[in-house]
Amino acid sequence: MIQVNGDPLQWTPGMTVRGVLKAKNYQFKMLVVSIDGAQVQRADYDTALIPDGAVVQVLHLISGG
Amino acid sequence: MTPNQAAPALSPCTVDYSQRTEYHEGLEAIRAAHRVLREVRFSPSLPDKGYNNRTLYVNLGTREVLEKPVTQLMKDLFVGGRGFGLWHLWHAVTPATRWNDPENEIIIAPGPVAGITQYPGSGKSLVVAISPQTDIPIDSNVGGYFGPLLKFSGFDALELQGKSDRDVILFIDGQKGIIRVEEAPLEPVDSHVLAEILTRMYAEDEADRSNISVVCTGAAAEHSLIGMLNFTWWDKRRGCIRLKQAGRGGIGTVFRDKKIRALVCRGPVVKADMNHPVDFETLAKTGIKLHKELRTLDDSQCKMRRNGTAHIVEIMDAYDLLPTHNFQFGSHPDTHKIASYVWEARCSQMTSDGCWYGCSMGCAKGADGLVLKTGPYKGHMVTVDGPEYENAAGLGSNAGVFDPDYLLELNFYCDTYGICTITYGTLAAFTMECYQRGILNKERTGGLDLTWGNAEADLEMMHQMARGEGFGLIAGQGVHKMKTIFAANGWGDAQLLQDIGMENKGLEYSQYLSKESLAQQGGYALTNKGPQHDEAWVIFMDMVNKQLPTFEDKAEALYYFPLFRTWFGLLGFCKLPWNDIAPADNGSTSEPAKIPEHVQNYLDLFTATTGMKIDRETMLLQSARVYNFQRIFNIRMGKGLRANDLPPYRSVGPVTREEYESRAERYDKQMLEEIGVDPAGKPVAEKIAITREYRMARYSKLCDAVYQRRGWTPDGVPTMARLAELGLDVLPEVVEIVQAHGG
Repeated sequence: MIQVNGDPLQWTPGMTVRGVLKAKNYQFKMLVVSIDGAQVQRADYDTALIPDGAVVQVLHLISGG
Repeated sequence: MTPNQAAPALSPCTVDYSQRTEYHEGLEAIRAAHRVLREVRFSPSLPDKGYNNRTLYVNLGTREVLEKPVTQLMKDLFVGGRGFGLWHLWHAVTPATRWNDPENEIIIAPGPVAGITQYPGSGKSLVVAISPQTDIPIDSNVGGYFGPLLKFSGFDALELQGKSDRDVILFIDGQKGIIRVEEAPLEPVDSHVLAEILTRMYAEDEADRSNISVVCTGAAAEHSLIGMLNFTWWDKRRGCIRLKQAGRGGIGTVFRDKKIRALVCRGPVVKADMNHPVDFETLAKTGIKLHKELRTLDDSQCKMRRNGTAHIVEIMDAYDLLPTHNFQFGSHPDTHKIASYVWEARCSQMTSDGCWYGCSMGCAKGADGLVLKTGPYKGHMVTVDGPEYENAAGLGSNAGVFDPDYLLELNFYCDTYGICTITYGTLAAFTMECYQRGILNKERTGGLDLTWGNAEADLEMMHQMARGEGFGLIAGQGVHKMKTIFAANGWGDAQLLQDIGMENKGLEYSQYLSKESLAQQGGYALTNKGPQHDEAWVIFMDMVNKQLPTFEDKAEALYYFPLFRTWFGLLGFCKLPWNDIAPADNGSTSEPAKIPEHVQNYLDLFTATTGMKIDRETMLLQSARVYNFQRIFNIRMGKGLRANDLPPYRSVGPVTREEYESRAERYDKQMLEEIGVDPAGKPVAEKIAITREYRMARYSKLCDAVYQRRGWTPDGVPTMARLAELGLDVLPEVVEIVQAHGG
């Protein structure tokens, strides 16, 4: 199990940032993602692996008109 | 197909511009009917360090035309833009003034940095008046060329007071130094026709059309309380006028009540250094930096240059935030029909879409080649701006309209009739829910079948509003007054009408679902002018990121963002280049949500223009003075207290069984984990009541926390200590009001 923005999410082996975004249906582009406090660059979303028990923050920047 | 799927391949919009309907026939006859009622000469001037140090006052009733000095106190306490507007309005009205009294004013003020051409989004004006919908000051932020051209003609603001006895045009010629009030008896009414004729009429040749900007409204402003103002610019590539709107609060209605048919400004040819800034090089360098960001990053971020703000239609749907069927729900299976990729294909690309010179964001997307199916312009081919997100959501999903052509037609008629799209979207959705629940029926609507998604009936209601007849007349009073009218007629339960009528302070909500974000509930209802998202959009921070877990955290966000965003309106900036594009390394900063590098850009632009060095604290202080002054202005006009910050329950939680059941898992979880009540076995009505009690108590605690952070009393009155911090205690009338209300 991992935590994503404070909510639990089932962990699976080989889980990447991209996988988390898909699982959470996070479609907004203006994101700042960190795994256990370490920031992940957008270019690494497909390859950055998330360990079991990780705390993932997916910070959505402000949007709206 | 769901909104989450990849965009389908759509053919790009190809339009034969020569087929577009033009509207300059009869121009000479219209011109010949003009009669000069008053003409005054003035000395055109350019600003020095952003200020002309004078404003223009015109009384439409007495035809008095005056130049007024901009005092040091005005600059120190109110900066410009919205600040100047509120200052002038304060002195024009009394607590007894209502929107249609002659002393009510419309003030248009661009702000000291407005008009620079180096930095995207720097051509905004703020329009201020006592609103016919709220009876308190409304402020509306608008693009188009009028404000900057007014400024480059020699004035930091335009004050319009009094009421004419006949239709007039106010013409300000910033090249020749002439101000003229002209009787205008034969002018067409609707904006897309009127503005095109006036642009051609007042330009001395084809090239001069770029120096003309028109402010006007349309037929609906004469028959409703929700009229807006269009500000134009001449689109050279398309060969037509374009419209940007000062939409909120019914300023167009005030405009027509004064019998102003149009304002026309003919400014000088725009050049790069017309503000006479102290440090042109910094303006240029700061602008180049943002131009590069837009060029290299926009396609992978918001695609503002392709879609404008409509880029978030499917995003809002994915996060359950897209208002659907009068804010009952947050998504819909048909959203893909009005998603951003539809508009990307429908709007012409690779053309000039900035509403002021130098804006490389250029988000005012133009949909060309729309052939109208209804109304007085049926069969005409027109260009319509948009839709922006608010229009797609308000005129689209919130009313259940998912046909892009009808949505564009609704958008077009709102613009040309002078109707605020946000307001119309919310009031149409309200009427449709009333229809769904039997509060309205065909007999009561005069035959309109206001079933969800019935775009033809929706359009007919709008045409009625413009003609001043039928149910459209009632709808044009806005949600607040419709609730009273329906209840007085015995149509529906008054409490239900209050719960589902999405207005606060008399103004309709803009198009985001705040139900699951307590901070955003405050972001809407704890505003000065009424629920518009331009003060604080904190849904993602609160609901998705969970960055604001405590009341104090939410209060801090509702302290900072309204002040930060007020500042744009003091200076003449557009908000969009602040956060709809972000530097590549923004994520590495300590507060990415604030986009610190862009905040620094704004400080640099201010200093480079005016020569006054400010830091972030001073920026917030400048805003806080105006923000608190506006709050006290509201109190002066009989609102502005805690009771006026109460939201309709639809914005806080589920009103109906269907709403509860659509998110039962979320609400049941909250009941169990936060309220401490086991929802198992409880009927839905009981669960709705328990949730309501909890959520309204939570909202009340939010008010306490926000008022405390803002330096206000528990009743929402700025304290004397706060006034002293802000330097507003030098204004005796302000002090008197605060003291009279226990501040």
